[in-house]
Amino acid sequence: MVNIKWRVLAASSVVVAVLSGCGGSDGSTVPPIPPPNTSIDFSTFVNQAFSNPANSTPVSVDVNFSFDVNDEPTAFDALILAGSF
Amino acid sequence: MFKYRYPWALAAMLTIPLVAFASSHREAPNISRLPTLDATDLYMFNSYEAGRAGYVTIIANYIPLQDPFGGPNYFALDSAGLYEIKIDNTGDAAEDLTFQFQFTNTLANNDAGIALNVGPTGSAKSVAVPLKNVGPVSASSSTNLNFIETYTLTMVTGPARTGVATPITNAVDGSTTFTRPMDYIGQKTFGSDTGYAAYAAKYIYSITVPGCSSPGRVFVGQRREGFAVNLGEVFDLVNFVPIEGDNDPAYNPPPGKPFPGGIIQSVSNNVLANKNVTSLALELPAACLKGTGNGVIGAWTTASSRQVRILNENATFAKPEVNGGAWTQVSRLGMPLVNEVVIGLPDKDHFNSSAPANDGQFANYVTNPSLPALLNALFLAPVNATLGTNLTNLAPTNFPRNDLVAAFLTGFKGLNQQSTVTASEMLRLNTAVAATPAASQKTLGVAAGDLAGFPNGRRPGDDVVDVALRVVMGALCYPLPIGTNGAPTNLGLCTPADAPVGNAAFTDGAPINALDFDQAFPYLKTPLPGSPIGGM
Repeated sequence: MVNIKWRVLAASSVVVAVLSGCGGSDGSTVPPIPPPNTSIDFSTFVNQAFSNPANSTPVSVDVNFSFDVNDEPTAFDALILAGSF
Repeated sequence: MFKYRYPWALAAMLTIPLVAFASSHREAPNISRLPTLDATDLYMFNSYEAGRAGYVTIIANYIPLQDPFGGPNYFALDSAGLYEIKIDNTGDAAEDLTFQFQFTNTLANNDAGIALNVGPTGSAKSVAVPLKNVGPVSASSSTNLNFIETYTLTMVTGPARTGVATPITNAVDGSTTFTRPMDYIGQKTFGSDTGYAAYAAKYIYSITVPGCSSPGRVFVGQRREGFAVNLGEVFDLVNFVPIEGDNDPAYNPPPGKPFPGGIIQSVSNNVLANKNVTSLALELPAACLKGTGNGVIGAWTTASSRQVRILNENATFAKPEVNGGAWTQVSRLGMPLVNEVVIGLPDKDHFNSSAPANDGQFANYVTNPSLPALLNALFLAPVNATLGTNLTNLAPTNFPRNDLVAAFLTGFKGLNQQSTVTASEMLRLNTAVAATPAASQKTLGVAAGDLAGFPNGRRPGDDVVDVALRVVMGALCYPLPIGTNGAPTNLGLCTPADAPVGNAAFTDGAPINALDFDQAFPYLKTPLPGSPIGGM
């Protein structure tokens, strides 16, 4: 449990550190909304939601993540290491 | 008192879910977690300030239940939020004009804040102060402010997210940035109520609105809460008899009779009287709002946040978080009380995130409302016992409740209904109905024959709680004094037989009227000071 917590905090920290000014620029492109009840990778979901332009349509949160964070405590590692933000 | 004389009624009350009557203060589970984005009231009326005929005033209030002494941070709006006032002037339940407010909070000295040299000469350290002001503030000087809140105002023509956005500018200097006055910290900071009023008045701006030949006005700032409601008693399973117990002519016009044990009008029943609120106020030429429609406009306010918020584990003033993604609506308010007493608890947050064009999903809440059934369960036995009657039901029986559909979803034909009718919840105003001067306004609005009042728009002095109570219990099934010279007029929506107590003077006993307010923009009164204690 502690392990999960620090990993999540680390993810937030890395994201904040590399993010400034990123995400949320106004644009005309509206990304596709994930169809409901599909399985989606968590980092893909976060990337998409965060990167959407401010004036786009919000993404649906009616999705199933492809892993259970409680079962896979290292699941956030890829997100942290990818530096995709 | 009444409740003890009828213990069976008390027992019944204990089995009834909570009923809430705050126009939109903390009305839904999720928005109660986000107070800075929580819309509390929306007013829209033809301006009745002298010399302002032809203008419409719209006031969207946010941040509920502010204690004036709420320092040291007081009540800044959300700098990561988007506050909007939307206007439908074509009747399609979609916004044709949107006025967007976005706020920026800064500290003095480029966000370093005001610092004091602390320590012995030669080894003193410069230390930032913990307060939002370090000395008196007045209309002539704000240099002691450590916290400055500014905003931009944008008009979007067409859909709010894809339409044409144009900045609204200061009509005097052309700037696009406006300042919100600091909240009323107290009388030592601002000198007096008069001093604060003069300070705040400096931030009423004349604005140039794109495509509009006459200037409008804008003000954003703290005001004294204008909504009046017997909130605590209502929350406590309607812990009073909600029918006029006296002959107050404003609430129980002749030939009304006092109801035995009924509540009596008293300002002490208004528990919001010692609260403040934050107003986003616009006054705009009606000609610039009504488009090509029939002069009736619909309005609602929304607040949105970016969809993703990542908290900064090393939070700073400038960056407590990082936000990204699409604007996502979390608050919505048009007609008062809808999300409190009409929409069911499971759907309240859904309503807050919804748009009027999709209001068909909430239709059952209007056509078959639960509030009258709740009031029936609470008060049927006491009413029969008190009056010696044998009523079997207090709630109206006309289903679907087309009277409520007209009141909440379509407006009334010939008064505040648009030429194209799309059933949807918004505040509707006929801009062609001449404003009633404050001294002549009827607090019960249209129901009392004042066609410039609620539900034809909403003025600060309209007692929407009492009007809503009466309407849900069937007031529209009885003739209203809206004919020539106040002649009783049947609306044809239902009949007295449908509403056994529809002509009762329902009330929460918290009076309000237009003279409780200023008679000039922004109408809502100077806020209450944070100090001295009881300084109101």
